[in-house]
Amino acid sequence: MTEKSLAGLRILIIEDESLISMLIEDTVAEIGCEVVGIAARLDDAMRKLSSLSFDVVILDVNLHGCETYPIAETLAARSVPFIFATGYGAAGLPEAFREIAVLQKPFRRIDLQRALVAALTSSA
Amino acid sequence: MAVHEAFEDLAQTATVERLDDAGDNPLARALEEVRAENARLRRRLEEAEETIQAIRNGAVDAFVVAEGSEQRVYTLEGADRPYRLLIEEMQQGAATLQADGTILYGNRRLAELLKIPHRNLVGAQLRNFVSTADRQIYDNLLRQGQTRAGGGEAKLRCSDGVLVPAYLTISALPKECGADIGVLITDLTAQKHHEQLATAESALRASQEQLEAELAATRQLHEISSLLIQAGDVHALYRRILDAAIAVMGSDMATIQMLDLAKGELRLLAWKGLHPESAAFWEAVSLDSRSSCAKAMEQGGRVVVPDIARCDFILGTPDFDAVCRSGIRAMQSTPLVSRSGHLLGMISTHWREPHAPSERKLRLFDVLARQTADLIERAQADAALRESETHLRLVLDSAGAGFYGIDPDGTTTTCNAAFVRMLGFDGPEDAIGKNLHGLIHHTHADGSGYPSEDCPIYRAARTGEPAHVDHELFYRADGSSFPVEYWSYPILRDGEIRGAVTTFTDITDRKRNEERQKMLLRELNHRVKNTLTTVQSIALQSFRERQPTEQARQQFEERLLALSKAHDVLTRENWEGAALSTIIREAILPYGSTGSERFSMKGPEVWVPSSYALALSLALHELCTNAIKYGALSNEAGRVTVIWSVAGVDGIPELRIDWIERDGPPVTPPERRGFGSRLVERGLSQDLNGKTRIEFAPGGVVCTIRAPLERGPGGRST
Repeated sequence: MTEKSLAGLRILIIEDESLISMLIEDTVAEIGCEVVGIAARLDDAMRKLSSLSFDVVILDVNLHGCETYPIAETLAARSVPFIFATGYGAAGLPEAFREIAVLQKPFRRIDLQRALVAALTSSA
Repeated sequence: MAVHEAFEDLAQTATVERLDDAGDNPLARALEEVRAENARLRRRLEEAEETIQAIRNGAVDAFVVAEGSEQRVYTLEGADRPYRLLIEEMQQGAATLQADGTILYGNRRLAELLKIPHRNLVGAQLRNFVSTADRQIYDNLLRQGQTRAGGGEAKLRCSDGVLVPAYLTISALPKECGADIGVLITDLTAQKHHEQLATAESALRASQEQLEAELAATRQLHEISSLLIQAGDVHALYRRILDAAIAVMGSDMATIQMLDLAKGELRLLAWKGLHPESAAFWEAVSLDSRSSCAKAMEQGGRVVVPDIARCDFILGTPDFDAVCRSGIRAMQSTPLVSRSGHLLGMISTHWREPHAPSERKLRLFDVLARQTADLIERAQADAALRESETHLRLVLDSAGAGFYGIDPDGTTTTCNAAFVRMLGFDGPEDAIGKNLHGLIHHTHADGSGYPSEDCPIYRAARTGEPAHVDHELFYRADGSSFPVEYWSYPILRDGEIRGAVTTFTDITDRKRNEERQKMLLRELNHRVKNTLTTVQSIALQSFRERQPTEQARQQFEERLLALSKAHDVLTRENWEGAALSTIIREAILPYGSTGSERFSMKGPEVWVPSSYALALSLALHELCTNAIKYGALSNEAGRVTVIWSVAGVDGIPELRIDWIERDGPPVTPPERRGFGSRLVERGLSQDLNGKTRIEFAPGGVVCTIRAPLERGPGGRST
């Protein structure tokens, strides 16, 4: 999988800060992907995980002070590809998620593309 | 003899006269007869004198006197006989003397006394038998003896040169005795001997008594010595020393003083026999005072005042009054000098009568002074040690850190108050004498057992290897634990390991702070990264809109400033949230103050979480910008009102903020919703989990923001 083949991917964004989710939304749109939903809260995220169809999840590690590892575990259990978006960096992640692609904020478009490719590749 | 000579002279004269006329005449014959008779009489007289002499010499017991035709024998018996026997046999020497001291008669005893032949006595001068030294006495006695009786002692010199003490009784004799003076000489040798014996005996007794007293004193000194060796009540020892001082010196009172160099005075340590007021007066004696002890200090040697009344340096001083009050008449002060030569104080004794202590007593007393000095020195050293121990104890007990010592076997030997408190013991006795590893240090932080062989504290006590550990747990008496940092160092004495001391601190707080600091750093990094991402997003939104670059740049900068101001507000509140009114005031400040004609705001005090604050700040900024560009603030008359309230909806308080523009130019809805609208409507809804609507009503823009006011998650947000 390459950056070019990301077009058309359906993406669910789980991010609590509106300005950042707008940035991700806009960047995702730029690389030809489709944002199927944005969730800023855990309950909203869980709901959308069930109700929406998507190919990849961009998951903020922390929603309003709560870690989103339960969501990550659910996704991993369902073999849904996802990437962590975080300001903490990969070093802050638990051992179980060391293999998960990380989008470190702030990010360039290429960083998002690479993270998405990595997520899709490792789960393929 | 004078009679005889006179008679003879008379006879001679008569003979001469008569001889001139001699012849064969009757007168001549008569003269011849007289001459014959004279010769006969003279013979008789001589015989008589010889007899008397013999009688005097005791050589004659009787004599025969021719009386007429018959002879009569006269013995010296009768009244005279026993007397003579008595004289001859008595144990005293007896003699009769002429007025010039010539011996007319002397008895055998006198000859024996003088160790000369009896015959040599008569005619000798008694004076010659008197020792040269006593001749004056003798002469006086003799002179006195002419008229009346008298007596005196004089030594007689025997022929062998020995001087014999004698008592001479001299009396005048009646005229008819033929002697002028009678002398009785009593040999005092025996008496003198007895006297000497008595004197010697009493001296011996006195000396014995003194020896006994000294022995008793020495015994006291010895007892004090043995008491000094043992540690004991120092004041009891002072009292013993006072007793000994009084015993040794035979004094009535005694004092011990200690030198206080810092204050320049002698302090009374102990006293006995003084009047309490005197003792109080001498509680502290200035070295400048004129007391005997101060003088002894000044001289650095003993001062003896045998009689206070004759002591010029005390008379008339306040000390004199104190001296009088205690009835002191004599005193001595002996400096107490340490073995290293330092003056430590003074030991003094006092008498009620004038008294000059003997050298012998003073020497004995010096022994006591030596012991007293040792005691004071030791007491001072003890006190210093005790003070230092107390100080150390205080320091250890005041320390916040726990402290305990163990011997090489791991048995606790000492511990401080913090140790007891931190480990929840009732007292040091819970720890001292016990092996504590199994009690307070038995398990590692991960729950695994901690054998004492592995314990670095025990290792320090055993091998001397110091240890510093800060990741282990100590267990309290109730079984709970706390993280500790500890240091163990060996106790070395004379190169030998005697155990170890361990200090430890409860690092619960430190651990928590470390964790907190780590978390804060993580949060800071996270926040910085999020903020940068926010800025990235603002930049992207600002520059992607179709507008001149200059305008985009201005918009971008103003948005950054709005974000920055929101940060300022939140920083003031430690990122725990902010008052809604503050957020609104700060947001609209660049466009006009809230008290101005153009702006008004109204609402209750509401506290909102920091994520709300950030989002509201940015949204209000966009609303202001829009109002200035197109809305109520773009003309001269328009006004903006911000009203907010909190109302309960299904038990959850809901915040409602209304942004109302009036009197601006007529509003036409924008053809395209820009970043501003997107940020207000979508952003606020998302960040506040609420609903936001902008209505471009013809009368003016109205923006309604509704958000649940749940207990905000504070400053943490992603």
